[in-house]
Amino acid sequence: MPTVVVHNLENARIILGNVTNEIQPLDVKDKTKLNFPSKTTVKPNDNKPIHIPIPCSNELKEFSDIFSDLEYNNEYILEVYSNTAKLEHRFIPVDYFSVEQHRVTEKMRTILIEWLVQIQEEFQLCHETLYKAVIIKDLYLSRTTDCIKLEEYQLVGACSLWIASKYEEIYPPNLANFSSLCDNIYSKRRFMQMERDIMRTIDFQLYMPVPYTLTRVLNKIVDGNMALLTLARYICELTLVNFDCCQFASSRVATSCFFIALKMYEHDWSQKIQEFTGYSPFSLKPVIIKLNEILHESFQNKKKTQIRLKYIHPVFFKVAQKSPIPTSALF
Amino acid sequence: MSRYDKLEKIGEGTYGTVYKAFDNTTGSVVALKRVRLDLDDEGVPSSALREVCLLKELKHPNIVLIKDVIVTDGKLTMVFEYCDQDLKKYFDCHKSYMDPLVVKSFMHQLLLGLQFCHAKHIFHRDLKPQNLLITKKGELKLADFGLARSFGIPVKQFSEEVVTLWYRPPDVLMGTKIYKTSIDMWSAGCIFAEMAQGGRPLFPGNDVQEQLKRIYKVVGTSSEADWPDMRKCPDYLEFPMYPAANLKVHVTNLDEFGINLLKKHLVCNPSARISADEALKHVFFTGSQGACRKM
Repeated sequence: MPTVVVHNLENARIILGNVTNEIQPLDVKDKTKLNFPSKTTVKPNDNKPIHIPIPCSNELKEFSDIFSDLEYNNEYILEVYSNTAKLEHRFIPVDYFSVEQHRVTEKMRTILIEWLVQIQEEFQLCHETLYKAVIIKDLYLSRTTDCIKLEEYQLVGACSLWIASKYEEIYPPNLANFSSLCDNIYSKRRFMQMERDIMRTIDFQLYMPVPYTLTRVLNKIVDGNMALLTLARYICELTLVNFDCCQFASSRVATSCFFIALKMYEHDWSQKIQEFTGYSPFSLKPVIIKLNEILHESFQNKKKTQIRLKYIHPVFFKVAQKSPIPTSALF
Repeated sequence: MSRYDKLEKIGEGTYGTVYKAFDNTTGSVVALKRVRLDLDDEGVPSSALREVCLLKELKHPNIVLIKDVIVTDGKLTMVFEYCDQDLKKYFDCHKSYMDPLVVKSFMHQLLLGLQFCHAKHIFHRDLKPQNLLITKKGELKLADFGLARSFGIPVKQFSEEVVTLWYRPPDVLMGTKIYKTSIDMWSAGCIFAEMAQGGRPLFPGNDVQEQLKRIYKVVGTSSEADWPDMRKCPDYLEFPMYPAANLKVHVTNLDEFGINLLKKHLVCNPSARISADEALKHVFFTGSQGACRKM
């Protein structure tokens, strides 16, 4: 895996350093002042019922053949997919900004996640680790009974990434690394207390599906190239910084990313993906529209975000420079 | 008064100490696995973290049940259902002989447990008699998931330093980093033979070289015809072409169906090795002689 150099990490260490309790609005109405782009309304119903594919024996045979090379667990591919899909609903956080965590804003969430993306690059962590860290952080914030102090918001993020690394990585960075990333403003003791608090609050549920994993499988199904896969992953990663997208089940996100990526490379929709995931483009329409909107926003935004910068790099086939297509042309 | 009264120390796990204890709330006996958190500065050890998270997803009669997790300042305690002994101790108690029907039942239960894990994309990676628990009712349960991993689909590269040498498949011995459920299936085969032999291990090697030699002398040295990717293993080792020995000579206490099933477990090419699903459908379990006695 080639190294992606992150130049501005040093400045980003105390990411929320200029944010204090005094200047942060506790008033929900103030959120509108931050001038967020208009959102597509996501009805909770769009997400349900979660489709659980029931493999029939013919399909199983066909997909086993696709995954019959060494790297893939062909025997259990569909079973694993349907078993994981059953769990997705567990990991959808509730909107915690208005009540439980009224000190935190979506803008701060975005800053924190961009910082996690930087760390993921610097330490060359797996992408699964990054996705899991974001879910752990959101679940903790939506379930804890404590209202997090702003000066500890970064600790929650760093600690979530620390936990995700321990679960996911072969050689996780050690606590000293995470501590220095936060400019040593939190003691090791505080880190360990937070770790216990997070683990208790999320009830040790780290066995969670993330869309990133599924993109690899979907690419295999369509026999796609790395550029296609990387574009799908770029769109996927953009969803991390958009809290609305957390309301979508991860298999829907992954499949929708693929739908858009296929269209952008002028390929047809894959019937095989539809069979495997059980999602038709029509059933994914609200997700696809939302994701394409985010992609357009990112493309038009003059200020390049961390994720965009990452995917502009040649290592990532400069997929972030590819022009998105209008939503009307998608269907 | 605390909820659990420690009765005695049962042993040391891969990390932490295991105690037999009495649960004052339910009036039952449990096993407590205690991990100290204040020993170093790294908080909850990743092995303990994975074990708790994975076992919480693995509720199955053939997998040890985790009842509770208690995290305090100084330690993490996992509360497990209590099982009387492990398979290693069972061998010792039964003086090197196991009834063939018990072997069949234990093997069947081991495969059921593995099938459940594998369909949840979790593999154990460290199967050995010490990690299989046996209850008084004759139930077998997979335990000690300290090295277990959940794999995404597909498997990522994991460290190769897993599985006690004796139960390691040739692909892992030769440094393969991408492996799959097949690692557990090899170990299950070794345990199957060991049970049939009343606790005598099939391949008790001392180092990687000797381990491979012992394997090849029994199953025959792999050729590229039956394992095309053999030479792609990072630490590939060349061996003389030993012919496959008659397994019946090495494992005397199995019928022909049992020998046939064992052969399918002990396939060097990981892609050609039998899966838990297939093994459970094998005639050894389903044939007229094969009905599994309810213990």
